[in-house]
Amino acid sequence: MLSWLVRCYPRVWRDRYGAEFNEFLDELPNAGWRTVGDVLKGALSMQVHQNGPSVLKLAGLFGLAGLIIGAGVSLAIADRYVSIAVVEATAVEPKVVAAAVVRSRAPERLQALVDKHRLYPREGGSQGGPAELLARRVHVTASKEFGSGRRAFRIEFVHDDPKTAQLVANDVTEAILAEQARANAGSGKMLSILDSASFGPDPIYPNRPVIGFIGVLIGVTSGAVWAMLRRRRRGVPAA
Amino acid sequence: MTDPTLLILASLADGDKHGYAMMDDISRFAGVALGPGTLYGAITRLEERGWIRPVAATDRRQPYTITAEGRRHLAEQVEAMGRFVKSGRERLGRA
Repeated sequence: MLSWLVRCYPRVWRDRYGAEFNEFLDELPNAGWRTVGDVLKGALSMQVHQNGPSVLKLAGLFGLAGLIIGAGVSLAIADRYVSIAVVEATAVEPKVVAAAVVRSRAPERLQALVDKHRLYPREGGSQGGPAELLARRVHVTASKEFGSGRRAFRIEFVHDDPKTAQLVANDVTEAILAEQARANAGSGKMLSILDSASFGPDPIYPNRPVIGFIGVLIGVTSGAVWAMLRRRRRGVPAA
Repeated sequence: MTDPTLLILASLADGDKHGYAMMDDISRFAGVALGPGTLYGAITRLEERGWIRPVAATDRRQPYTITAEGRRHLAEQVEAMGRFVKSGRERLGRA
């Protein structure tokens, strides 16, 4: 990887220092991201120092830097998985459903879910705590009517473990059903599960190709702008 | 003091060294970890200014030596820093 990055240096520089620089890089005991960044920064500096800022070269170098930074950022972001359950609510009045949803999100219920699934252990001291965080991550949204006036709503929960996402979405669904059953006891009007909480093996977030692409785009644009600004300052016509 | 060119000149002031030895020496005497790109960028500039030059290598690693001009520049910089340190200490003492 580092030897490959040496190609980003100007040819004249490589002819003079390339062999000893490669030798030096081979000697480094642990070359991490910081070293990669420093070699790239050095290449950029030498391109500007020896050749003056060529728009294409700087755009390419900045684009490569943007790609590396984007890759680093996207790898630092934890995968997130979503679990979705769909509940049919045709037989139940919307206001009863709404009340059941509100009661299912009572603080003590959320705290019980947090304890059961050991959610957000690092958020214990934060404002609102894990239960508040859970309340923000569980989304209940009314679906449009589907066929013959039937109504349904979705329960979504996003977490960095797909199994936990499914278990929590399932528990929240069961809690809403239990609250509604208690409110409509004896009436025979019941919510029914259309789709059980799903298990999503593929993360919905982060979208790594998009983050990488954004990194390249920002890098190429800023490299080109920088090179053109420097050329204008030096009075060199744009290439 | 983190200027890589001065750190390299100071490292070479007590003997010829190749890149890795310079990096190791600078880390020990100044507590500054120079990255490879920063180190070789500074070596390039120093050689262009005639303050250091390569000497015959005994293996594949290229050692460098400080020139008389480089030594003079380092002495001027150290002198200037000495004046700054002295003045700073006096002012702090007065505060």
